Amino acid sequence: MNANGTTDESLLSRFLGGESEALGELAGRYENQLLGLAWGLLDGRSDLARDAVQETWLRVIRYGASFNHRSLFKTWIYRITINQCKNLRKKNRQDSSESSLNGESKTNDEPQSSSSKPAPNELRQALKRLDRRRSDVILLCYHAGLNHEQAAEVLGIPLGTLKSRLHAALRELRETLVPETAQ
Amino acid sequence: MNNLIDNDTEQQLSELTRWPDESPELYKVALEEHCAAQATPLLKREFHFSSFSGRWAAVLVFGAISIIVVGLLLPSLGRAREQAAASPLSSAPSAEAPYAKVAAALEERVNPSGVLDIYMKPDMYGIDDELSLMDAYTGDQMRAFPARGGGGMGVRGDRMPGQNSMNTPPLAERAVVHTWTIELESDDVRSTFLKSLLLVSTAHGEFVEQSRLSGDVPTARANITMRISLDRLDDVLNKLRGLGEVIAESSDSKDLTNQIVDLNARITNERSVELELLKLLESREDAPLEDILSLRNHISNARMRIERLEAQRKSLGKLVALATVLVIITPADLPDVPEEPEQSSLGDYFKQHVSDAWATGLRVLVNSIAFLIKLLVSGLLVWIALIGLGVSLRHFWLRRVALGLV
Repeated sequence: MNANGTTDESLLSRFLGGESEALGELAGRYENQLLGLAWGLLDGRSDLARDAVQETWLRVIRYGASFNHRSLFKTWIYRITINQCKNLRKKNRQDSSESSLNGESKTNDEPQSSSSKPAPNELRQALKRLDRRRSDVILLCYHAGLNHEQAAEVLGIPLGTLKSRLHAALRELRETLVPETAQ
Repeated sequence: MNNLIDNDTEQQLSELTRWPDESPELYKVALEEHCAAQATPLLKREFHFSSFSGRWAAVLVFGAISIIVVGLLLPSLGRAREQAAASPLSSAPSAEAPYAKVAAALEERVNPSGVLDIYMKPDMYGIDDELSLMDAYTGDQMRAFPARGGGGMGVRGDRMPGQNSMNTPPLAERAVVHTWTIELESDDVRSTFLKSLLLVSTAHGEFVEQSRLSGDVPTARANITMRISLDRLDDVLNKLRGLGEVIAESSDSKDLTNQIVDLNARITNERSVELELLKLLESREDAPLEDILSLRNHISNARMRIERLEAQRKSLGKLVALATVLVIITPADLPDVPEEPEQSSLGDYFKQHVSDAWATGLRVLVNSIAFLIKLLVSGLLVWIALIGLGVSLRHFWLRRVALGLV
């Protein structure tokens, strides 16, 4: 729910009822967050992140009527985005592997912004060395838009499982980072 | 947040999923794309044969499986329903009134000729023994049923029709007219005819209603309609069966109970009218002659109606008391009559076959429509369940599509 008291679900209903401004309001609430998450999940490829989020909106528009209100709109749209990112990752696996072989300049496509503070490449590389599920858990848990309960719901796993996975992933990340820093 | 990593790393991790730019308003692009896709005619849209065929193949397979399942289920369900309908005895009765239910079931099972079609097991009704079952059908109701020509068993399994007679009236004084037809084949029609006539006993009030013997020796035929007392009916039928080879035998019964009850009611009514008129006549002896004559006239009419009704009742009583037995006697070996070859033209032949083909085609069409209706109606519950399943699957599918899992 927003400060003005309108819930995401009512905005979706309004959009399905024909008010396209409601979609704009939903986008105002979530588009940046989704882009950020997609950017993180797609190894900093902003072009792929844009594709993923655009496809997410397209699916919201097309299949919004099938949203059954059993979960929050927020978790639903995050799940769509994550699945889109996974699909794009699958599609671009070949390119990604080639890119990773050739260098990271291709994969890390930072958005052009004066205000942007580039994320350290070491950390991104360390995350890439982790198992995908673990790196996804870390990114999702440290993503500003979601708390742990919501992250667990988005991933479709119990909160306890999420926490244990996060713990294991962070331990692995630390082990990965420490030798690098030692070097 | 966590002691495994320091705050700087946590901050950097958070920065990895923070979009540093302004929102590019991708929802507008998506909306435009969606509107463009909506506006594009269906034929011009991008066509993915693989996904289309896969989806439709799934739908077709689902439909085919549904039809096969329903097709397999329906006949067995139909058979079960027919068996259940054919066996009203199969439902267990309540403990309160087993006798009434037995009586009702017995009445249902009595065929038009008044003979029970099946053997009933006593335990079906929770009655301890067979005797109790028979007691449920008590007193006069258990008088012998008349014999029947066809197979089947009486109430007791050890009694065959024809060997035992058990008169009909169940539960009430029933007045039933019984008619038997027995067709015999005999080497000597004339002799069998005469022997049949001798079976009629005038001492018991029996008589021959009609008899006819026609034809010469090789092709002679005979018909006899005799009225036989119910007490001797089995005996006479058995003797008739011994006079020749039984070709066919049938029986028919007509229940006149309602007519007799109606007649009785009318007679009672007329009698009370007559009684009242007589009382009136006695009390009004000093009335004018004209009134007295009119009253007598009314009394006379009432008496006439009473006698007419009583005569009708008597006639019905006679009809009930004597069974009608129609005996048809035919020679054993009828000379073969050569069939005349049909003289038909090619046009008639063609017309006949076209007519046959047309009739067959129509019959097939009607049968097909009837089958489809039967499939639709009798499998209604199954169809509803399948539609529900289909809708649920569609929702599930759409959710997966929306989430990008498909």
